[in-house]
Formats: sequence, C-alpha cells, structure tokens
Amino acid sequence: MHMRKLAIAMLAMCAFFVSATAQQKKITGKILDSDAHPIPGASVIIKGSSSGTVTDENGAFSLNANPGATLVISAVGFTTFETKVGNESTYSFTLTSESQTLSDVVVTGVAGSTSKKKLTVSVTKVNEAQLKAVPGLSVSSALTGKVAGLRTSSVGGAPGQQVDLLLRGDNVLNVSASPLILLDGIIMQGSLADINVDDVESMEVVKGAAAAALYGSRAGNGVIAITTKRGKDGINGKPQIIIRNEVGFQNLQHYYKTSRSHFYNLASDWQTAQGKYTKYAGVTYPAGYEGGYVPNSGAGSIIGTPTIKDDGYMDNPYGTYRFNPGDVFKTGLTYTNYVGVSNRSERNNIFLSFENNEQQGVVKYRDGYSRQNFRFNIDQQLTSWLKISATNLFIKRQVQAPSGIFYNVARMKPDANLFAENPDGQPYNFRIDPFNGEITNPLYSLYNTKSSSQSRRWMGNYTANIRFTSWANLDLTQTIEIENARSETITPKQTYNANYLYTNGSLSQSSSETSTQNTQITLNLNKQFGDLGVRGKLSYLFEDRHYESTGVSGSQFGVVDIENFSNITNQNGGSSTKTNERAQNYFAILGLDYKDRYLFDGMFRYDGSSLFGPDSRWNSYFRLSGAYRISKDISIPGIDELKVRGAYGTAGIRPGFDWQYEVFSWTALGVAAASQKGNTKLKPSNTAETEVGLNVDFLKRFSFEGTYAHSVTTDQFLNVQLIPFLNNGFSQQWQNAGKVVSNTIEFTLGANWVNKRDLTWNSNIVFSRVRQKITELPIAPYWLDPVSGDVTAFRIAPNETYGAIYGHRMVRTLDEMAKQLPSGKNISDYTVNREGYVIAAGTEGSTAERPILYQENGKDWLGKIGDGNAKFNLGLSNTINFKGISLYFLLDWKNGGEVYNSNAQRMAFNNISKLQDMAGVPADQKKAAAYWSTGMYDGNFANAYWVEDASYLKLREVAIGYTISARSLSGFLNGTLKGITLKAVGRNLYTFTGYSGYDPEVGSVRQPIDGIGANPIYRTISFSLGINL
Amino acid sequence: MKKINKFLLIAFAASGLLFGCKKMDVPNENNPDFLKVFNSGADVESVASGLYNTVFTGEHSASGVECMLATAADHVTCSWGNFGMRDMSFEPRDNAWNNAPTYANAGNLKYSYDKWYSAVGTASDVLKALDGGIQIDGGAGNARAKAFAKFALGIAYGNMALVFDKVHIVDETKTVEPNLAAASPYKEVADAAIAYLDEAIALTDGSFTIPASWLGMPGDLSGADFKKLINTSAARILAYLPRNKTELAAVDWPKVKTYADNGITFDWTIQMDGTSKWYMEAGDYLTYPGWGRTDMRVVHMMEPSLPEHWDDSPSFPHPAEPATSQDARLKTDFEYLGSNDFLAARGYYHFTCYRNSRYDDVYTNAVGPKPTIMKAENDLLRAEARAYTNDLQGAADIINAGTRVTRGHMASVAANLTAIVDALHHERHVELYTTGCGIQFYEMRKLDLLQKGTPLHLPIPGATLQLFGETEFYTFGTTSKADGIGTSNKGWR
Repeated sequence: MHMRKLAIAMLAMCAFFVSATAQQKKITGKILDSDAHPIPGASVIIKGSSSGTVTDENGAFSLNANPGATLVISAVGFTTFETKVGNESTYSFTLTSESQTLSDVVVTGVAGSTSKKKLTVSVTKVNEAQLKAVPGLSVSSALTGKVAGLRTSSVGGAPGQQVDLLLRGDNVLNVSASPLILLDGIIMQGSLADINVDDVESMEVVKGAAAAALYGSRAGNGVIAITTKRGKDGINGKPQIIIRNEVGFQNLQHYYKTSRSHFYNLASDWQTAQGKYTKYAGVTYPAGYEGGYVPNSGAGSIIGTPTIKDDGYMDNPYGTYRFNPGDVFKTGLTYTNYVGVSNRSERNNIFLSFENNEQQGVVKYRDGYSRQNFRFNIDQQLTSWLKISATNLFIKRQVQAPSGIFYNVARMKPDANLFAENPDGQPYNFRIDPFNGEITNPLYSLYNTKSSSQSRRWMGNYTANIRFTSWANLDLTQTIEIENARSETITPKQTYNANYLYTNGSLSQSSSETSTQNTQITLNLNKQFGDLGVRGKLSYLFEDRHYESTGVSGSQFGVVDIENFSNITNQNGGSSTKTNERAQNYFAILGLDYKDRYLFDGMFRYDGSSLFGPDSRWNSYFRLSGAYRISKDISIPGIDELKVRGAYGTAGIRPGFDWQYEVFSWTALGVAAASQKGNTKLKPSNTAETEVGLNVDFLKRFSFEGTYAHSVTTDQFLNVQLIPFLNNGFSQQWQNAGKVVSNTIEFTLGANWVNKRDLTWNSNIVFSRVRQKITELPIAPYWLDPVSGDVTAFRIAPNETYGAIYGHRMVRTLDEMAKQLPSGKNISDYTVNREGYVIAAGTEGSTAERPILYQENGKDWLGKIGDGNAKFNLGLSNTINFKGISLYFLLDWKNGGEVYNSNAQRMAFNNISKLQDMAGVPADQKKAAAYWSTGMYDGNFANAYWVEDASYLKLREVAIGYTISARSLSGFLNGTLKGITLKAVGRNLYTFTGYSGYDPEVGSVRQPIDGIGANPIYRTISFSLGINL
Repeated sequence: MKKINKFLLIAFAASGLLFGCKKMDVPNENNPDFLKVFNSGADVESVASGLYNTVFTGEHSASGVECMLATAADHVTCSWGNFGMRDMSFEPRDNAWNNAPTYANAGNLKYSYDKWYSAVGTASDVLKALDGGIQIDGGAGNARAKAFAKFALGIAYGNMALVFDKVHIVDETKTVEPNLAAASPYKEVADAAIAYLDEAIALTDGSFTIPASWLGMPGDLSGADFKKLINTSAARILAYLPRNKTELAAVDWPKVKTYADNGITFDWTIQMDGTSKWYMEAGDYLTYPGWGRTDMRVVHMMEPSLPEHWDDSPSFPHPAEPATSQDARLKTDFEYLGSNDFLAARGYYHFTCYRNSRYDDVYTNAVGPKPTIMKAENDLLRAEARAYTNDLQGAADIINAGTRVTRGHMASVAANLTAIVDALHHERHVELYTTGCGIQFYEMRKLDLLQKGTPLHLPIPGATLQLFGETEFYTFGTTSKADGIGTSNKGWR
C-alpha cells in the first residue's frame, strides 16, 4: 500500500505548505484511531485560516493556535472532526473511521490519492473486509458479484483456471476483452488465478475507457489494480502474525442427467443376462460374456448389431445399471495454509507471507492444482527525503487438469462397465462399448496418461521516492515479472489404440518464459492554492516484454517405463517462438479541487509501441472529467452527500504481436509460404467513452452510486480475407475498421442497516445492465472460433448484438410452413406437434416424425437464435455480526443471457439425452429418438432448439464465523493470541437455475457455450481457522 | 546518507533505469517475410523443396476433401458427420454439398482449395525469382527448382481440375480479373495442368536428383524416376477427369498411354513421420476403428456372396464371415467385423461387415511407409489406355501380371472390354485403397456409377465466392438437380 502512504505524505505536504501565522500559543497533541493506534499524516488545520500541520509517524502534531480557535482534524479514511482550542496545551483526539463504502481512497487512474467522494470517474474499490469474508481460492474469482459493471464467467471450473473477467461492454473484436491487471503497480502478464487473496489489502476496479484513460493503449477494457498488504499498519515494534488454515471439500453440484432407457430390441431372454449386460436381439454373445467390450472379429467375438425397435422409442431398460459418474468423479480436498508476518519500526516496515494452496479437483487420477506463494514487502525511509519500497512475490504452481472428461462421462450408457480389464491385464478396458467404436473408457486415459504443468513466477516492484519539496516528489520504479512454465504429457509405451495395438506411447514437452521489465519515472505534484487544490503527475513509462517458448514431441518409446526423449524412437522435431514488445508512454494528469466541491480532472497520454505498425507508431489518449458536490452548497434533508459527475476519455487495445508484419507461415520444417500481408499502418483500437454518474449518501446509512456509460470503439482489428492468387499468395491482412458501441447502466447501493455495539448488519447491492452492438463491419460476417465446444455458434455481423448466437431454427407455425412448401405438397400435409414444431401430418410419435428447417427464399435460414448477454447482473452481499458471530453471504444473480448447449445437442446425437427417455411416458405422448438425434441435432449445426436460458441465482459465497477477540483471550497464554476466527465457508454452494447442463456458468462471457471441452464450476465447502498473534 | 546529493541520485538512477530502453522497431523472429524467403538462391530452393508437401497436404489431410470423396463414392462408409462424410453419402443423396460459407463442413472444401492455391502462389514466386536471375548453387540448381515448380503447378491444377468445376488459372506470368466469370472450366484447367507437367518433363534432363524430403519418399529420386512420376501424374489427370461416360469416351487415350508408359515403375511411397508434415491423415480416419469402414459394394466385389448393399432395415441380417473369398485380399487386407459401431439411427445403410486393415501398423503412430501412388495405379492407367485404344490383350496382360493375380489370386481377366473395365474398377477399389486422394470417386464418376444426386464435382468454396462479391453460392448435388453434368443422374443402384 505504498501508494496510500504516498497519498498521506502528499496530504501532509499540502498541510506543510500552509504556513502558520503569528501571536498564538503552542499546542501539541496526538491523533489516534478507535483502537488507540496513532494516525500518521492526519491534517490539523485552524478553521478559517490557512494555518495547519500534519501528524508525524506517531500521530503527533504541534502548532500555534489562538485559544478559542477551531481545529479541523481530518485524515483519509476517517470522519473529519472539529474541536475548539481550550486552555490546555496538550490534546489527544480519536478519529472514527468512516464506513467502508463511503470512505475509500482510490489511487488508480487518478492524479493522486483521491477519496471516493471526490472521484470524477468510476472506480470501485473492493476492500479487505469484502475479500476476506470468504477468501477466494484466488484473486481471479474474488470479485464476482462485488463490482457493478463486472461480468465474470468460469470458463473452465478446473482448479487454477482463470475466471473470465469483463468490465462493462465487450468492445473489441478478435482480441481479448480482459481488463489490464496491475499488481502493486506491476502490469501483470501471468494468471490472476495464482495470486492469493490473503495478501490482498484492496482491489480497485477502474471501469471503462474514460476512467482508465491514464493507461492508454492497454486500457480499453478497463483496469483492475490490486494492492497487497504492507507492514505499515501495525504498532511500532510489535510484530503481528496472522495464521489461517482452511480445509475443505470440492465436488460437482450434480451429475449430468441422461436417459435411463434405450431403443434397441431386447433379446426375448434378455432377463437371463440381467445384472451383467444388456442382451440385444439379433446379437450372438460369446460364451461367458459378462458385458463390456470384446473384439468383434475373430474367436470369441460378438456377432450382430443391435437393431432399433420399430417404434423408435427409447423405453427399453438396460440389462444392468452399473455405470455411475461417481466412478470417474471424486470429492477432492482443498486446503489453504497461510501465515503472514508484519512489523513496523519508525523507519521501516516489512510484510512477509507464505501461502500453500491445494485444490484437488473432482476428477480421479488428477491431482488438480497446487500453489505456493512467497511474499516479501518492505518500505524503508532512508533519509527524510528518500524512501525505498520493494514488493516481491514468488509463485510456484503445479497443475494436473483433466480435459474433455465431462462430455465423455455424460454420454456413458448406464450399462457401461468401466472396470473390466484390458487384454494385457491393465485396468479400465479401453473400449467399453462393442457397438460404438467412438466411445472409450474415460478412466483408461485418466489412469494411463500423465499430464502435468508447472510454473515458477517472480514479480517485483522496486520504487525509490524522492521528496523535493512539500509539494513535489518523484517516484523511480522498476518492475519485473518473470514466469517460467513447462508442461509434459506422457502416454506410456503400453497404451492401446482402438485396434488394441500398443501405440508404443508418446511424449511431448513444452516450456516457456515470459519476462516483463518496466521502468517508470513519475513526478508527483500536490499543492493547495487557497481554495484550490492542485494535484498532478508527469510520467514516463518504458515497457519491455519478452516471451519465448519451445515445444518438442515424439512417439514410440524404445523400452518401457523410461519416459524421456532419449528413449523416443520417432522424434517429431520441435517448435519455438519468440516475441518482443517495447513501448514508451508519456502521460500528464492534472486534478483540480476547488473549495472541496468543484472537481476537475484532465489528462493526456502519448503511447508508442512496437506492436503498432511503423506508420502508426504513436497514438494519443486523453480524458476530461468533472464533478460537482452539490451537497456542499445545498443542504437537502436526509441527503448526506450528493455528487454529479461526468467524464469523457479514450483508451485503446494493442494489436497482436505479428499482425503488422508480412508473414510467410511454415508449411513444413524450413519451408514457408505466403500467408499474411503486412500492414505498416496498424494501430491500436480506440475506445471513446462518455460516462455520467450520481453519488448519493443518504439517511446516514445508505450510499448509492449510479453510472451510465456509453462507449464507441473504432479501429477494431479485423482479419480481412484476401484472394490469395490475386494477392501474391497472401490470404489475409489485419486492418483497422469496424465499430462496436456499448451502453452500460450500473448502480451500487450500500446499506448500513444496524450499527450497534453488538450487532451490525451491512448490505451491498451491485447491479449492471450492459448492451453492446456491432454497428459497423466492413467485411463479411464471420463466426467466432468456438471455445470448449465443437459448434460454431457466435457470429459477428453488422448491426448485430455482440454476443449474438446464430444458427438454424425449425418451422414453428403452419403459416411459416405455407411459405416453404416443397413442390407437390399441400399445407394440409403438415401439422404442429405437441412440442410446437411443424412436422409432416400423421407422423407424430412415429419414427418419421421430424422437425423441418425453417427456410427463407428457398434456403435454410441462418439468423440470430440467442443472445449470450445477460439482461442484467446483480450481486447482493450481506454481512451480519452479532457479538463474535458473523454471517456473510453473497448471492449472484444473472438474469437472462443464453447458453448454447452443444453438450445437450451431442447427447441427443448419442441417443442418450434425457429428452429422449420415453420410459414412463404415456403411450400416446411418446416420441421416437430420431426426432432429436436426426431432427433436432441438425447435423451438429447451431440450432435454436439447443439455446437455453442460462439465468441463475448462485449462492456464490457463504460464511458463518465466530471470532474470539483479543480481550477474551488476554488471560490465555499470556495474551499471546490476539484473536481467533473460526469459519465455515461455502463457495458456489448452490445454483438455482432452469439450465439443463452441469452448470449455467459455462464458457466465456463473450461465448457462453457448453461444449465437449467444458469443465463445470465446482462446489467447495471448507472450514477455516484464523489466528492472530 | 543525508549527504547524498538528491539530484545526483536521481540522475544516476534515471540513467540506470533508462539505459535499458531499446529501440522501438522489433523484428518478427518467428516467421520470415518475402525478402527473407526469397533472399538467395538457397532460399528459393528451400521454398521449392516444400511445394509438393503443400499439394500433398491438400490431398491427404482430413481437413480436406479426401474423406468426403471416399464416402460419396461408396468406397468407404462412415456415418459420422465429420469432414462432410455423412452429408455426401446420404441415401438418397439429398444433402449433397452445401456451399454456404456457414456450412459446418465448408472448411473442408476450402482447405484443399487453399492448399493447392498456396502451392500455385509459391511455385509462381519461385519461377518469378528464377526468371529474375536468382542463381541456385551458382546456377546449377536452377533447372531442378524450375522443373519442380512446374511439376507443383501441374499437380496443383491437376487436383483442382479433378475436384472443382472451375478455378482461376494464374501463374508467374498470368493473372485474372477478380470475378467469378474469369474462372476457367475444369477441362481448361486440366489442359493447363498438363502443359505445366510437360514443361516439367522437358526440364528434367537427368542432370539432377530430387532429394527424398522434397517428395516425402524414403530415398532420393533420380531425374529419370522423377520424370516417370511426372508422367504418371499427367496420365492420372487425363484419365480421371471425365465427369460421365460421354466424357470418358472423349479422353485422349493415346496421350494417356504415352504418359503412363513413361510412368512410374515403383511405388511412390510417402515415409510418414508421425507429424503433420507427412501424414496421410484422411486414410487414417477412413480406416481407424470406430471411423471409416469398407462399403458393402467393395466387399461384394471381393466376395459376391456377400450383399452389395446393406438395406436400410433393422431386419437386414448381419452377413457371416465367408470361409473363402474370390479376392484373397478380403482375408489379408481387410478385417471381418461381427457387429457395427455406427449409430443405427443414422441409417442401417452405413452398416458393413469389413474394414481395411492393410495399413494398421503404419497408422498406429502414423509412422512408416504408405504409398500415395502405387506402381499398380500406373499399371492400371497403362491397361486402361490400351483397353480404350483397342489393345484389349495388352490391357489384359498388364492386369493379369498385376495385383489382381499376384495379391488377389483372382482369375485372369479376359481380353474383353467390359471385363477389363470391371477389373480396373475392382483393382482401384481394392488395391488402391486410401492411396491417392479421390481415385475411387473419379473412377465411379466416369463410369456413371455415383449414386443419383451425388455431385460430380464441387464448386469454388463459398467463402471465396464471397471475396469475389458473390452473394449466391452455387453448388452441385441432390437428386432433384441430377443433370449428369454437375450432379450424377445415374448411379450403380
């Protein structure tokens, strides 16, 4: 929190600047907080004059004042306090801290530390209390439901997977919409999922281009700044130790529900095989057959193929119901072991911490995620004008994650036997279904294949602060982030293929290094001219980023059990890549504060990056914003604070590394062919945002913030297709064109319902409603590459919602059908079935019943069939403290927003969908499976039938805790224990939804699709014990 | 400490911090640009060396057209929708080719098209560089690079003439207007292909050998053998081009005979390397358990007691494994399957009781030799040219000296045109299984055997039509459009 310290120092300098005048007596005093800790940097000003001072490190002050004068004592984060000077010469004042929602000080994107009341742009601060209630398993998931305008999605619920974060509208095409992440001032490249929450003091979420304009060409998607703890808040010379241990369990909220029936003809004596296998008619089984796969050629083979019943209904029972998803899934352990040590002396403070985090996940034979974080933060005042600060974080991570397992498990038939042995005696017979060669045993690959990845990452910020005068100081900062990652996949020598031939195995390894070293010089200015407060910064930032990776692979081990490349007989060769980015950025920002009520902010930034084409190397950004604190001038009953604000600013997103270059891509080793035409004019995308906001604190217990933001993003990155043989072989070029417009309404309402000594109750509601549209697209509409599924369903088209799901749909009415009658057909040949789809008359309930693709102008219609954007998102958190007992819960409500359920579509294709299960369905209402597997499946093309409302209400976080205070523990162990907190914690505990899949929170925010690779989010229940020493 | 001069410190620190500030121009270290690729003679040669691999990938990648052509030809059966296999083999053939850029399998057609045009573009660049005076190995390597570039142009356009109804002909000297009307019909494309191959033959004077890696072969190829390869390539284009029996009759068979007689006397074998460089991926999918199986029509050809078609009925009996077979290869190259693993709901007509197992060992890791053009294929071209030029005995002799007898242990074929055409047809389905891309499709096409409604060729990909400003995506196929010109109006059943 060195920025906060800096802020305090600046305020102090301001106060110094106000020189004292004559004929007064000297008074001294101390300013303390409610815990009797000194408050350094508090300002003590004589009302109506410009005289005043600021407290030192021990909260002490001295100044000359007339008896009877009024002292105005203020400090950031505390309620301003006024008192009359009496006859005494020594005073002690206790300031009360302001409630969190009202008092936060923001440092990101502004001219200097700014109390939230004086902000002219939208920045949400999430403080330690909000993060600590249920400490997220990582910072990545800690913000969900806590910030208005933030949309999140757990792309893959697997442990260690980063949550997809999106601030306000998705403004950019073909590049990530993730916000820029700053960790203690380090522009972060690596995964947010590896940052531990226990170290975090606060997070500032700078939403939108206007607020984030200070970060220029990287800030078009907003900024999230994370500040970690430092040792400055403790008592001088008294080290503090925090220990927290959490143990819990992780599992799936529910398994995927599929059909318990099938449509094959059963042998007349099928019951003789009951309990072993499903005995089908027309199939001859070998003697002693116990179910599962046996070869279908040679001796002992199965002869014949199951045939479908004439009626096509899936209402026959299986001979056995032995498959249980629990055979593949497990309840995994999670644990967090944390220790943090802080100490403060007069001239320095340190903060040391260690966290061990393990999340075993829910899939057998995969250890999940394991991480260790080591932190060392220090601030050292070397001289009265020189302070150095260092932030160090080392992270060690290990991951064993499953891939594609959830779909594979979902489509298992109930009679599948996963536990039969392979011909060589290895467990988990590879092929489990004699009648489907495509389905294999999920346990076989989990058991057999070893897959792991590791990384080592070091992040550091080294800053020297040099004070010139009370109103000017300089920060010299060097930041470093280096991550080395490697991963390995081994299939052992004795691994079968579907022919039951040993593949002889394979081995692949890859490693990468990401290294960023940024240098920044910032001149901070802060001066009070009478009623006018002036703050400013002038800064230069140099960014130097390097990435390289290598990968090697090969197949066929020579001997068993030695899994290295010396034992690989067929080496496929390697691949490698290296990228560099350098950028120079200049910026200036000025913040004016006149009479505490008229606030103005202006900034300019000039960015040059090697990612921009040489002819567009430099790009400028700016912001103008202002606010008026009406309540300072007009007193309205019940209104404690009323502010209106407005801002206009620009920011951008940089293009991908090689987009500007002419590229010949490798078609074979050492051989390259023309692929991409260069573009020397390629520049960053440009987002211009206008926002207006209203802040109201009322009735002493509520605070409201409402914001409307409108952004227009131009110069999108478009991959323009070229006719290669007319363009020297080049098939595409990146060009700047296209426009996306978004509108966001967001509000936050904080309520302090009860604030008594033994009982407090706070609520916080965050709401956002985002609309985004592609208003210009000068190239042909195109599909987004699918994430975690094999269906392309999200389409970029002009004048279309960004997030639109496109596909076919079926004919719903006879009017529609009348317009697309095949020749020779009459409308009376059609009817609408019970599901509301047009079918050929007389086919309902028969194997011929099929939905009909809707057509226009004689062609299958392709249009919008859904929208992935939520109607709104709402988060509601409540914290109730009664004596030592605390109850916290966070509800996360996504209203609307559809998911393309490609998984369900594939279940129908596999004839295993719950929809197709006709057991127990009245005879006159049964449908043949082909209605779905052939009809609605639509050849795995996106079809409206598989679009599902993915609204949900999640009990995202729950905690019940009990804290034993230092006072209660004073008689125990000589008062060594300063507090004990016991907590039961639930994360993603329950989801209320109508969605039929594993979980409605699936896919990315941009592409919510439930596909073959989707990994549902897990439920975690754990118990935490925190001890303060 | 207090004596440290503040400004000295700042100056020192700032200069230290900024010392590392490097230039803003960053090169792309991962991919070359034109200047690097065509920098020297050695570079140009390196570019030329990769030309065949590009054509090969367009032929044999599962992302291309090979799989769908095999199922459309009732050569391989597969009910999975991947790679257009199912849509192109529906019975009746009413799904045919959807040329909308949004079609799920649109990428397969475009993949082959783009690969072949990539070879055309690169070959043109090589020729341009050579014409511009660049010297390979002091000029000693120019002839080889030029011959190879012409060969690449020839086989790239040859493939396009076989698969597409029309394409645009461009090279290092020719360009065209960017519109659909500028495209040349397949016969003109084939003529152009043959002309390039003729140039390649003329340039191959025996002064050079082709390195193994250029052609993916196990060993280097002498100039003389390379010439044979070009000749075979030319014979294939001419013999496989006809869209129907009428066009078959108009083939310049004497020309085919000349090329084929000068064609390969060895198998053109690809040494698969387990990577995507030399991997006949489509052949893997067309034979891997759970994927492609041998169509009953082909099974029936090898043993007539087995049914020719699996009727679309649940009561169709699973044929028992015959004790003997007319063609011995049924027992050696194929594997009997007692049951089916396709979804019955997708039609019993996809069912079959055999799969090809001939290449199981090489496909275990996609490592090892697999022919793309067999000597047997060239022999069949030689025989076919003789048959259609009234040298029936010559044709029969070639066939009877070949795999029909040596591997199939089948009765010798009589010197009778019908019998010879049948024998050729048989060998192309049995012996040439998953070797060259589309062989069986072209074979069925020219004999009017593709089921009614099957496209006889494919359109320029919709996504490319879009770049020409077209909004209608013309296509071929479906029984209602069967005209015998773009869509089959006859068929074997």
